[in-house]
Amino acid sequence: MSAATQAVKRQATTSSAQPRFPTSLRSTLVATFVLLSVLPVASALLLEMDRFGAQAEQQVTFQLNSIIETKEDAIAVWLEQNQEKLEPILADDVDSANVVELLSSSEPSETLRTNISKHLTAMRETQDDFTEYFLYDLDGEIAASTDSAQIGKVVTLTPYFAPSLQGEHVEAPFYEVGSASLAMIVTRPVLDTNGEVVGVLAGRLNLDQLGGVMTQRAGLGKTGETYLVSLENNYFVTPSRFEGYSLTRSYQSEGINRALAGETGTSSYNNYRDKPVIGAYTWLPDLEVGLVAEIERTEAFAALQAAIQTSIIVATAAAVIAAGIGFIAALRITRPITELTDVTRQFSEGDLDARTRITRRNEIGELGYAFNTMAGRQQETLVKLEASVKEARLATAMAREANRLKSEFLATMSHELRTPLNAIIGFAEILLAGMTGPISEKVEHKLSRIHLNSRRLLELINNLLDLAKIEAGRVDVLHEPFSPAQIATTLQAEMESLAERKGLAFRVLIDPRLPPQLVGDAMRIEQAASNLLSNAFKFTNKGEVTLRFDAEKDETWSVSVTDTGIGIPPHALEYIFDEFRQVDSGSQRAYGGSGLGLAITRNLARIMGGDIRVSSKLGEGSTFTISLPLVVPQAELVEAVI
Amino acid sequence: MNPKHKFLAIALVAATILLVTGCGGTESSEEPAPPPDEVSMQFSWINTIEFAGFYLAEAEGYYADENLNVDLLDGGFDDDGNYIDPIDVVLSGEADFGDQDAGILLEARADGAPLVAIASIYQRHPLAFISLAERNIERPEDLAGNTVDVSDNSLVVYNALLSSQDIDPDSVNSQIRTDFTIDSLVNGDIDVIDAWVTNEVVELGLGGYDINVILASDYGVEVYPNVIFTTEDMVENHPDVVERFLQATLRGTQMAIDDPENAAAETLTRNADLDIEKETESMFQALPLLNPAGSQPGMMSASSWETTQDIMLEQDLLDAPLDLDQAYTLEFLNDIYEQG
Repeated sequence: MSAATQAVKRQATTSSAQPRFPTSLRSTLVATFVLLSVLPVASALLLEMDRFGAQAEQQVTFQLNSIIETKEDAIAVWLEQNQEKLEPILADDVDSANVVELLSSSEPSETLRTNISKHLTAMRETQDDFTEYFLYDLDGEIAASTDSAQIGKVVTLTPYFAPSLQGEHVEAPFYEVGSASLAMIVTRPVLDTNGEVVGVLAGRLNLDQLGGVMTQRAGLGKTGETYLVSLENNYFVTPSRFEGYSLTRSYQSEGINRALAGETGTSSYNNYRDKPVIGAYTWLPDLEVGLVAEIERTEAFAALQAAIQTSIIVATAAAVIAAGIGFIAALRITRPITELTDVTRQFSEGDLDARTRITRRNEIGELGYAFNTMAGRQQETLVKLEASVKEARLATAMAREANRLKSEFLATMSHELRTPLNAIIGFAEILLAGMTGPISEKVEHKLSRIHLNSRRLLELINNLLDLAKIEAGRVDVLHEPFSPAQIATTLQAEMESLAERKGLAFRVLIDPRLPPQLVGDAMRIEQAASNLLSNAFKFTNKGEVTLRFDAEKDETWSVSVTDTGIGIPPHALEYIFDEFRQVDSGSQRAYGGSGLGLAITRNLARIMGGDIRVSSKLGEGSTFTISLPLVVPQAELVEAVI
Repeated sequence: MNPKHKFLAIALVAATILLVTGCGGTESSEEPAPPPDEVSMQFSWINTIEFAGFYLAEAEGYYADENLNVDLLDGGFDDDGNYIDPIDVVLSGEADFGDQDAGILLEARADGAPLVAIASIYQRHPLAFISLAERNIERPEDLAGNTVDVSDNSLVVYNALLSSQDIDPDSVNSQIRTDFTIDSLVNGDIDVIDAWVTNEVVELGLGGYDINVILASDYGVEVYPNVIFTTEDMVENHPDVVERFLQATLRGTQMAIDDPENAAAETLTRNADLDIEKETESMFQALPLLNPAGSQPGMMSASSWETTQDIMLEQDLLDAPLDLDQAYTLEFLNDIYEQG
């Protein structure tokens, strides 16, 4: 791998590795820093907010209440001063006598009326708190006025007429239909020399002045205002400081309604302009008006709002700084980790020379050093291991070759051995058959021994040859159609005499589900089954031997042999199929045989793509089962499909 | 980096399930209410803001609360162009209640009509004599030498005003008003017209005209313009129906006073020809008439009735003083306001 491609690969792996962790250490650290920086500010803010808010409201309420009290006093003073202003108008004896004459006579002279009106006008012009002075008689008819348009009007229907005859009176603001405005009237009875009431001197208060009193030094900021509201239809007695609100409209709000209901207090509500306000209110019984002082919540809590804003800015700034610090810190921690990760990956991908260049004198540096040390040891070990593996491979190859040569040698040798042996057996048989002349009993016995042992030797050599052939890979397996039933018949015929001789029952069972035709090597199957049957008869002295052909699951079929013989001890089951092994060394002598049969059978089963297994119980019998792949001839298959 | 070592991810999900169990309405075990009393009210004029209290009493279910089924009859002119006089309608039995000018009601009583006033919609007469401000007609005596258009049914108050101010009727060029618009005044054809402060005055105000207003009631000329009346038979034999009707009507009136905009809107539903802006302004102008300082909605005073009778006698509209206690009663108003 060239340096360039390696670099590209590394880049690819690092860049592809990063987005795999959305909660990477880096973002986790940044988030933690931000959280830690914001939490204290936020919690302090939350804790303080309520207290701060309550304090602010308390402060505003206190302020409003003191304004209400101030205004109440100011109104009382204004009213008292103005009541006193009526007194000097008729203080002069001449004026007083003239007025009494004007009010008492049924047909007063116009000159008198004009003169008195002039006097009233002169007096009125000295001040601004009254817009009109007027005199009316006991019938309520206005006899003289600073406003000539009022002369001749009758005030009997006004609310102040009746009480004005009883003594000094201040009439609460009321709506005058004629002037289409609110009026506030102060009256003083006019007495004749006998002290009898002959009429009333009245002054129409200038409500603008009252409005001035209300707005004077209100100290209520931009949105705060104080105003008076009449009990009559909730009219505003003093104007709103905001435009678009008329004096002759009725307005509602919690503050107005509570004040007019005679209550004194403070509350938060939406005012007549539908603005959220904190308001203080009280009822002024002398004027029969409600006094309300209000300030919009936004302004009242402007300081709180500013504090919250500052806190938010501070918290945000802290969060940004913390995020920055967190990012740098995370980078310092994660960069060497990333590098270490890359080096680890390179190492794992086979670059055993890969080493970290981390030299920091901290935990990370230690980790890097530890990694390098480990990588060095690992490299050493791996080099050694590789050498061992090479050796082992070579040894295995040599062993395999030796084994093959051994098998070949065995195969050749068996063949070479069989030829002379067959000659021995043949001549022994000729001699035994008496073809060379009669032989004595003694010689016959000796010949029989030669013949028998030669045959045994031949069998052994045959088996060896078979085994060697299989191991040398010289066996070709046929794939031809055959009939399992045919094999069964052959085997039955072969074994029947043996069974009879040993007095054993021999049963052959064929699974009806098994197809009548199969593909395979009939000869080998027969050989394998025959081996198993020979063993079964050999190790069984009573009872029965059963040969079964069964169809099994997963495209296999089986040939099994069950006996009621001596059985196999459990410890022997694991090596029973090995070459030259019988269950115990003694059994070879008792039962005869080379001990190669089962090994050959297993080899046969395996070269046919199957295997062999055994189950056995000592003293009760054994079952050997060869399982083989079930292949149906093409024609069968077609037939079956049709 | 081991993905297993994920950083803490705490999600607290609090699911609050509010089980709202509705409770079934409890069946009243009381006896079923008797069927509502059927009554009717004949207005003296077409549907306008003047009768807003009645409309609201109906719309808000105040009549139903009093177990009344009230038929509110529009007034004005019938198909033949004749004025529908509530006095005739009530006398004929076609309506149980009506409203009419107090002076006209006294005339009817003098003719033997068994009718009794039980309350007054307006407590001040809204009648005024108005002129453009530039004409400087500020007081009744300024009318002399000017042309004054006076409606037929304003003549009693007009004559009373002249009389009370010792103005020679011949010094004024008075004529019966036939043009009920404000055009002749604005054009300068006529110097003075009679007007209600709740009607023409509002119209001129909205038109931006500066005007002088001579309000008749300012000069002690006091006639209730629209007293609610019924028959003597109703007062004697069905006082509870009368009181319930008045109670609900006054509740409606109070509601109109409390929320003039809504009162105007409700009036518009009865008469689509009206203009919402003008009716709203009219309603505000009507507030001090409906509920003057120191009074309560519907209230009447003995002095006003006496004044009215004096005016009628002076103008020979009545031959002799009547027993006013028979002509009106405060029995129902006092009952209602004493109950609170």
